[in-house]
Amino acid sequence: MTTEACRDWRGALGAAALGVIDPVEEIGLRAHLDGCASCRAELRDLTAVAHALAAVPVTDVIAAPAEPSGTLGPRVLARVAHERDARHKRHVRRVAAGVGALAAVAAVIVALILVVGGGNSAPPATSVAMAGVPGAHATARLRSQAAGTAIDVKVTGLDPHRYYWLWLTGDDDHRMPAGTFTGSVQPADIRLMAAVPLDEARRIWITDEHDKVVLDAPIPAPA
Amino acid sequence: MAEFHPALETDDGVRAVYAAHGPELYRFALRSLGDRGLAEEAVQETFVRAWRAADRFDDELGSLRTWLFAIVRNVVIDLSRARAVRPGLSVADSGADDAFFVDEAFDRVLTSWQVEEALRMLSEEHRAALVEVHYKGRAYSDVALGLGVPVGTVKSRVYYALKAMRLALEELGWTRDD
Repeated sequence: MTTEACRDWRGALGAAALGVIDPVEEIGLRAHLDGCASCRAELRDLTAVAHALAAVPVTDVIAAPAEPSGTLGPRVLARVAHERDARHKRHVRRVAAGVGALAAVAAVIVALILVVGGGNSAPPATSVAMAGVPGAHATARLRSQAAGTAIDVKVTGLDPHRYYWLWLTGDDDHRMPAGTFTGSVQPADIRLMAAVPLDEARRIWITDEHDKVVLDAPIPAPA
Repeated sequence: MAEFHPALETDDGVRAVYAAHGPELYRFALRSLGDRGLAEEAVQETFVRAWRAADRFDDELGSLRTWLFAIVRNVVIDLSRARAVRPGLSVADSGADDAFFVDEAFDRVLTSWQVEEALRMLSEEHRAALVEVHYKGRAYSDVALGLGVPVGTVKSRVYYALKAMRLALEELGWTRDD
């Protein structure tokens, strides 16, 4: 039970939990703790908190908190909106597929004939040259895969002290990240992947860490 | 069709959830991955997974924050594995069992993130008292002199700061070691 006397020992409890209590004060506090279960329990609680404080170095406490770049919020919004649209499209496709079931069966038969007949089964691919800031250049080969578009980029003339983002924009105007890479003055080969089907990809572009476009190219619509 | 959590079903909802939790998710991912670009990727992926699984979110089982942190934890593990970076550890710390390292590293990262966020939730007076006395190791009397307040006031602030820290830590899911 907390008493008037307990209130007088609060400052000492905090100091004891942090291990900085004055030795004389500690003698008095111990005498109080001997007869006060609630203050003993409180000291245990506060000491556990004090131990947890050690998990963060003083430099991190004093430093300004790390904040994400101002573009992260809009990018999160775009990614979720893209997911929402994609789900909507899939839903529409499912409805269309149900209506056209007979046509689908016919298509499967045609596809089987093509495969059996030695038709080309390699996944679609396309290549583009990217241009932008002076001195920088990239060529990208995009291949359609089940999970999206695989992108092999050969890039030259980017600052080796910075990192860059590669993006694809889909036909719904939402951008999807393929990932990040460090710049290189010499030609560098980068392999990344974006969750946009190749037949929906309309633009490939690279931004620096401040979200400024450095290289860019349209992707031709599939024939 | 599944019912989605209304907070993530509209652009305004996503914007509001990001404003409330985006920066703290980012700091957690940054602590774990040690790379700003990867941390931002982790936050984006967290929101996408949260949206996809929104029908499984149950308000009664926990807060939106707790749920988002369960997701970002998995995202960070996936990104760490994909990039062969152990959470909170350098690649050089190899040679031991992966699962053990991941769990231990996560506990450490999680506690440090909880402490950092809890410190941010304190009042300026309480935070300053803890920083001066605990982190900078200054004597109560020095701090009192610097602030122009009695020593008893500083002691009282440290006590209440620890009490407030406990509440804030518990709100962030912290559990005592003992």
